[in-house]
Amino acid sequence: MLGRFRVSTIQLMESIQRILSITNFEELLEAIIREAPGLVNGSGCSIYLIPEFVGKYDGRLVDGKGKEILASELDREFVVLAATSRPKHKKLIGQAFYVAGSGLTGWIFQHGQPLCLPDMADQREIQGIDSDLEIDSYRISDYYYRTGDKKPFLGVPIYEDGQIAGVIGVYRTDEGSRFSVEDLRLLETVASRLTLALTNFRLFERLRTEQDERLQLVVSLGHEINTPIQSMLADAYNIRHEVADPELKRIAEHSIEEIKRLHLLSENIFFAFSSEEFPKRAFSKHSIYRPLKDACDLFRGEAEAKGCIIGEPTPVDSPFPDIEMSLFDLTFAFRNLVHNAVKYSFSARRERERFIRVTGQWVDDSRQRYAIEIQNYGVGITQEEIETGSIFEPEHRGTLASDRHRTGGGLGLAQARRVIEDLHRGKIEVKSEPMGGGAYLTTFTVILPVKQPE
Amino acid sequence: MPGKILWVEDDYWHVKGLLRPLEKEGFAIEAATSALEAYEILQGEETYDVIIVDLILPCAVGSPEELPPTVAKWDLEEYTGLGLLKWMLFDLEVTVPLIVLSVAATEDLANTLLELGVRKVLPKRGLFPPQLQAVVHAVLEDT
Repeated sequence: MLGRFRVSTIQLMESIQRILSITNFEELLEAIIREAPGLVNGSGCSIYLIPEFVGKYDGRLVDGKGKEILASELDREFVVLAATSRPKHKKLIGQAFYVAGSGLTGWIFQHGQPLCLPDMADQREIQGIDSDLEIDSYRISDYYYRTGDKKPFLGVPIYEDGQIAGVIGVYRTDEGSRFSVEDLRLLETVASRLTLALTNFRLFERLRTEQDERLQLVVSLGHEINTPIQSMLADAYNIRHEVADPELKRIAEHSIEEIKRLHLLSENIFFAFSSEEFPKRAFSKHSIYRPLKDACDLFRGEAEAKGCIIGEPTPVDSPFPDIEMSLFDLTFAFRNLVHNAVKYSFSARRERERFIRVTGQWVDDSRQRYAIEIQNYGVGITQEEIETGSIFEPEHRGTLASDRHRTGGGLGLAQARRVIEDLHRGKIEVKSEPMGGGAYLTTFTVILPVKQPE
Repeated sequence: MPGKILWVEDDYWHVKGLLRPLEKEGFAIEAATSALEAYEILQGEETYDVIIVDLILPCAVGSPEELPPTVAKWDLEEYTGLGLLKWMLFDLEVTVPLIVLSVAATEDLANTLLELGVRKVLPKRGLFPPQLQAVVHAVLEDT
């Protein structure tokens, strides 16, 4: 008997459009559960998928009748399906693990064919399809209503990459007519949309796994590199501290400077490749003087070797305030900025000294944001690099930095910006003014909120 | 001031330069290069004035026949050294100051460790020997 209900073309198009517009996997499943019954005048819908799409298999098994069984009791090859809904609920409610091959859903999964029944509770009708197929008709009647009405069922397989990945089934509880061929075609259309979603889901999971593995590798490498760097730093310090010969002291000091640069480079590489987003950080209040002082002290020796003097961090208007920060990350950012200033400062001429200035002041009277300036005299940055922001892009080498002695991977400013803007919700700006003779006065301004938004 | 330090560090032979100023000052240093070794040492009669622990540790070096269940359990923690620390603090109830010196010592983890009862947390990256020396002095003076 043909179904008397026919969904309008507009309703169908709207439903399909709603389903097609969703890209989130779980939202898509919920939308199908919500929309599919309306397309075929059903009362409810269930989606069953192989466990890899719905989560970790916890070992529980339920057969098509709902009876719990042990995996050891299975006497033939079964595939486990995980249900993502119950028909009387119109949303995703959780999981139940079914053994495919038992029950209506299992039959569809095993045979890869749709199944249309006028009444799920009619044992003779069911066994006319497959004599082995057993459904507890009493249980089904009890599960729905004891009204005596027939319980039509329509289920279709869901394919992914040419393999059956699940089943979608719809039910009627208040309409006695069986589902029609048109209903079957509509449900198959919905199932095909789900197929596309499953393919995308697999792709995203693979990408996420690869990203996790890459992150683990980078973290592991980072730790491995850090140990010899730490070892060399400690040994070089001890040598510098204990030898009497001034020349050996100088050599040890030079080694320390080189090891610090290596350390900063390894940190930059680690940050560049470890993640697109920062992991969760705990912020705490520290004086902004601390990371500034650390950065200045770290590169003072290298600056002096070129005749540059890194001034002490100096507050312009009032003492350095406490700021909510990730001390480790902000120290890292300022080390990059100060080291940049040292690298791109001109070497001192006999009659002139070069200063690298680090100062701080409040942005305005509200005292909610604090500005730090790091200023140097030397190789400049072009206006184009500033306006396009390319100066902050990873692996960018300054247009005017053609001197082969100014080495670097181009990661420092990019990492500093990530820390300041992405992590601390601050801002970093730069200006570079030509001073004649090829020299520029370059100022990096870092603006930081005193308190982080909650 | 000098006393005795137990340093639980699997890379001890690489980074022992960090403790040189303390050694020259007169501190005696004993090293454990695995969680199992630390477990066995701490079960003994020796006493220490400070214990320094790396979070990233092997449970055991080589292939011991069987790990004591207590030690085997530490492998389930985020870091083996964290399992060792918790055992020292809550089972052994050590009263000597504990210092964590580890590359894994992020600010987030440091807060957790301080709440557990660790006295000081130092990241083992770019650290100079006198910085560690100063921290050891500070925790001993506080005790």
